[in-house]
Amino acid sequence: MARLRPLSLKIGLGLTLTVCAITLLALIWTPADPLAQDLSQRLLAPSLAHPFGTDALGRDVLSLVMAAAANSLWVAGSAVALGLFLGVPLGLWAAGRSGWRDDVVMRGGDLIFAFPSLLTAVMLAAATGPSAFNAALALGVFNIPVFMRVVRGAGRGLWQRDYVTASRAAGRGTVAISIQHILPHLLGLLAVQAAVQFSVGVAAEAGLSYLGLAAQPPAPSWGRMLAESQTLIGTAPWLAIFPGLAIFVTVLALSLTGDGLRDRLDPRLKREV
Amino acid sequence: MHNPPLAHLRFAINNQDYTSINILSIDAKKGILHALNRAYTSKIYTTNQSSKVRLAFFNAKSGVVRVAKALVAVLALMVAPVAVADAPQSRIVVGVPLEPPHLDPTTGAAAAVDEIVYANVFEGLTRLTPNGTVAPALAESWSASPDGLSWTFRLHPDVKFSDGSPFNAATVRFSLMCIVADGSTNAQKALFAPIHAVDVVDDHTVTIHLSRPMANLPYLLAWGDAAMVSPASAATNGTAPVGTGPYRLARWQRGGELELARREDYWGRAPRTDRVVFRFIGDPAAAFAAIRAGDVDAFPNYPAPETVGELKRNPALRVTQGLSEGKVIMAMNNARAPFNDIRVRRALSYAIDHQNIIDGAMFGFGQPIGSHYSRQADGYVDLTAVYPHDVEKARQLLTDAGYPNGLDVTLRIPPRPYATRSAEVLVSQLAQVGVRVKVETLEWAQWLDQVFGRKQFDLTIVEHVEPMDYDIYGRKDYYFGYDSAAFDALLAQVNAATDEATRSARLGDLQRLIADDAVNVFLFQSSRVSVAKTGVHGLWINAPIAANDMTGVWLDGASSAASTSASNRLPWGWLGFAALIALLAFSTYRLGAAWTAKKLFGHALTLLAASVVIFGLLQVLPGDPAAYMMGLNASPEAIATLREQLGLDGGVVVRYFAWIGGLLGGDFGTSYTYQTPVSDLIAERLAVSLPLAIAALVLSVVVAIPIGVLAARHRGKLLDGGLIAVMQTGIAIPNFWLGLLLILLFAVTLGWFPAGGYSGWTSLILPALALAAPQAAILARVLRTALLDTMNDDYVRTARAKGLSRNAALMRHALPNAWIPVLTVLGLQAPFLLAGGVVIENVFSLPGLGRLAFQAVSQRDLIVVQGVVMVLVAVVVLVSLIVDIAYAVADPRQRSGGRS
Repeated sequence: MARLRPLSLKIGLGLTLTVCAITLLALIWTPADPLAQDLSQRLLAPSLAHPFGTDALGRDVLSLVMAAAANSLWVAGSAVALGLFLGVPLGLWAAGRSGWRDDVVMRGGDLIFAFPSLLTAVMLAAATGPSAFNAALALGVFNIPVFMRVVRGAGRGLWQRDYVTASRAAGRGTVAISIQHILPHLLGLLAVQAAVQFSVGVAAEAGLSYLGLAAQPPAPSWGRMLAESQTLIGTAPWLAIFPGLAIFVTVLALSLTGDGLRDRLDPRLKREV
Repeated sequence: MHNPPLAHLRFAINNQDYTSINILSIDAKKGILHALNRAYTSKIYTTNQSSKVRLAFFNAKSGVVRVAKALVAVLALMVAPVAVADAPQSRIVVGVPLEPPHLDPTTGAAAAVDEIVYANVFEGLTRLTPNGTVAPALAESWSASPDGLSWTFRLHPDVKFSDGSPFNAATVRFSLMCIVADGSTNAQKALFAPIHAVDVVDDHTVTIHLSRPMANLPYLLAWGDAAMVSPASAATNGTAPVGTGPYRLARWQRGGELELARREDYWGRAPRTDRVVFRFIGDPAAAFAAIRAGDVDAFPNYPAPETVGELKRNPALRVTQGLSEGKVIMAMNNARAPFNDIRVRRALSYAIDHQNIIDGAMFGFGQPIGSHYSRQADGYVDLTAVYPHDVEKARQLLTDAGYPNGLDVTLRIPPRPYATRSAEVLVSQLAQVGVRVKVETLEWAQWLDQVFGRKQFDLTIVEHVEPMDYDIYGRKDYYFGYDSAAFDALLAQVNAATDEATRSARLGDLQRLIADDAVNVFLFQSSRVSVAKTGVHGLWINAPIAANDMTGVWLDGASSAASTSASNRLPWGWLGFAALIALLAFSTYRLGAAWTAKKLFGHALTLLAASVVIFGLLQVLPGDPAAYMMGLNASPEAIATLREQLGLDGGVVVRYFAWIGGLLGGDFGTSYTYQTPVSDLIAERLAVSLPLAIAALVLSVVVAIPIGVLAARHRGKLLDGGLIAVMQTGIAIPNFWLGLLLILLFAVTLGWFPAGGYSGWTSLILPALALAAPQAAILARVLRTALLDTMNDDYVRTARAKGLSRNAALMRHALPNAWIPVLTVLGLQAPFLLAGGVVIENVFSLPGLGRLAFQAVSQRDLIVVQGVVMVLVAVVVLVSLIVDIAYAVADPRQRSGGRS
């Protein structure tokens, strides 16, 4: 097992870098214009000219899959960023102020957890109108308590350390201590959690866009490609296979990275989900 | 706010569509009541009162009654559907894409209503035949006076409504006067406006007096909107339709299917099929799966044209293509720049390649049209050559209009497949002439409100499915904002024409004018694609009206598709209730009453807080439920009345406490859309979601334990590595993709399981597999880690030192103690399985809880959303209570500890 752990980090990082590289590449170049329609070329099976085949409007599936990566990563990334920006300060604050303030913040987090996340995200996205931005927002809300808990849980312990006590004795305030002494120690943990939430976000975005609640046509999106492929699965299975594979590989890459990082940081950390 | 009349626009929409519904009709009935006071006071007054009472009941004051009623309702509904054997009757299962919000064809504007009830449940004086001609129905014969101002109809004798009340001349007068009465919410009120009196000549003869000639009166009377209704049941036809047709409503499982049963006392020729089941399958993928797997016998209005090629090769199926009345247009906002300039509108008309859209978006299933007029209607003129596809000309026109660099516009479309698909093709076609289009897909409710109601749009795509609806171009406040004196003059001439030739000629001029003014871009006329088993006979090929006339349809040879009629269901309500009691008893016995009470109190607080959050969140969501429900032609006063009736007019705090008060008594309120108790809806859906969640949970545990134990046992070895790879794969695989692959393999290729829809427990196998796989992977991984951690603990080491084998130590000492993290994860997963299955429910088109919530949000049926979320949060809380108890039992140290 000990040999396997660095391996998962390596594979994860390698895959993640590949996905990122392809995403960036797709911003400037794809084998074909992902939005160029050509009905004479519709539903072609994979070939040299179209390695992933073409879709019902004659668009090149490889180019679409590549171009859709940016959207997927953008939504999942924004959701993580939202969680970090709101969850970390709240978590630090809760860690620094014990008593009722801590209670209020953490109970608030519990409350959000009591809501079924995907369904609530679906409802938020449906209610605010389907768009990539609203999808990011809906997913981001559920990242806030996640980061809050991580920061508060680990931050609590750090507040007991001698150097924090010393710093307090020197008259430094909660905010200053949190930023100077607590936060730096949490960066590793946050990186792990960010990778995990990122992978969850990619999968959830795919689910939302499958339901038609994230990016809108003609912007390419993996989830919507899967939704559109469903009726053609018998005649054109490649339409269902490649976008699904793209989601799978991206989620796998990020979750392997997260796991690998976690093991690297603290081999004794339990792998809780 | 002044709203345009909705009449004449019947959208082919799903059940999130225009929700006119019963509440609306209550208001309508008030108006009718006023108009018909003299003749029918006593009877209508009674029905009106009873509907008021029905509403008032939802605010019932008697606590005891309420509690008892709620308990009985919830429990009875959960228990009720225990295996009902099907009688050996002929039946046919028909797939329909849209679920009607109600079943009253004479109110509101949902074509989905006619799709179910036309000719089956309700009949008019006349009816349309499959080729669009008018035939006698309840009227045996008719004649017009020479001036065309009065029509005499001779009625069939001995006709009775399905509730036994008689059909006679007085009924005709009642039905027709309801349409034109003040406060009528009949969608076609404007068309029937010339009717100013109906005389009862004798019991079986009526004379209709018109204020101006209507050459097409027999045709219009054939529409569902002019169906004959009985005064005794007019107010309740939405939920309990009573018509003169050969079928009556047998049951309606909202979101699932609706069943009609043959009437023995029908006046005309008895239909050949005893029972007709309409199954609601809106999703093209699910429709494809259902027809392929034989879950439906026929799909007369098949929504997945891209799959027709494949279905045609299937010898067990027959595909026909006819014409529908659906005219798909790209509407332009004529009232504002840039589309108030005819050059811009013409430029867009030239920019469009019709055949390309028909091929690209509809897979060839459509016919080009050049104006707002059906190819199968009388007087059709072919105007498809007025604007040939011409990129250069389009660019030139745009330059002339002052847009040499093109222009940026927004295309706001409703969430229907024809619209999203057409939009994708349109965007690329318009880009070629320099029109840069931004597409926004709106919720149906948002589309009705913002685009149709408030005209906040540049371009939109919508299908007008009403036949002969050219008169919308004469409406001054209609959404596309066309205003032409020339058109109004022509329309008047059409209406005044007494002979067919003149009328036809004027209709031709009218089509030309609409085309010439390039009011909208007329994309195509939808084909009506019908797919059926080869044994199904008598289906309509063309659809001169949105209807599924089942009176001449029968199925021979093979037996019909399976019913979903609630077989194989267990009484989950009772089981759950008993389990909860048992759990609390166990907890009290094992852990003490004080501990149990403390935990219960903590969880109750969480529930309370959650209720505040849910309620608050829904208050700030955009969209007024009352406005959505009343549709587009309601007055502000009517909306205010409805708000009051729904209890929406009080302050937020008052409403919150009213809701909570109801909840405590088990009363979840009444659904705005379906007009049934929310608890019934939830119970129906739980009967699908709960078994699914439990099956997935059990499956994931059963799979995870051996994998986790094996991996831990062979730690660091090749087997461990392989299993870890399997787990990683399982975690990363999106469950809905897995669902798709499972459908492909087990339903489409092997045909072992149904591909979609709910027809008993076999429908749950594939979804349970798809849901369970990722959960099993997560569980297995947690179990493996937990096992390895405990293997390092002192007591296990001692056991090993004592001479216990590695296997024995693992199974006897490590496994029981590894339960705690596993339980934590299980606790997190269980609610997810119940609610997070919303995507899986969509993949397999299951009528589950997630889809109910999804649908309710789009319909702004807030009370249902509140109820569903509350139930789900309650499940989360309940599961965490179970986990707490399990913790405390597994690890005595936790007992003295504080919170969970």
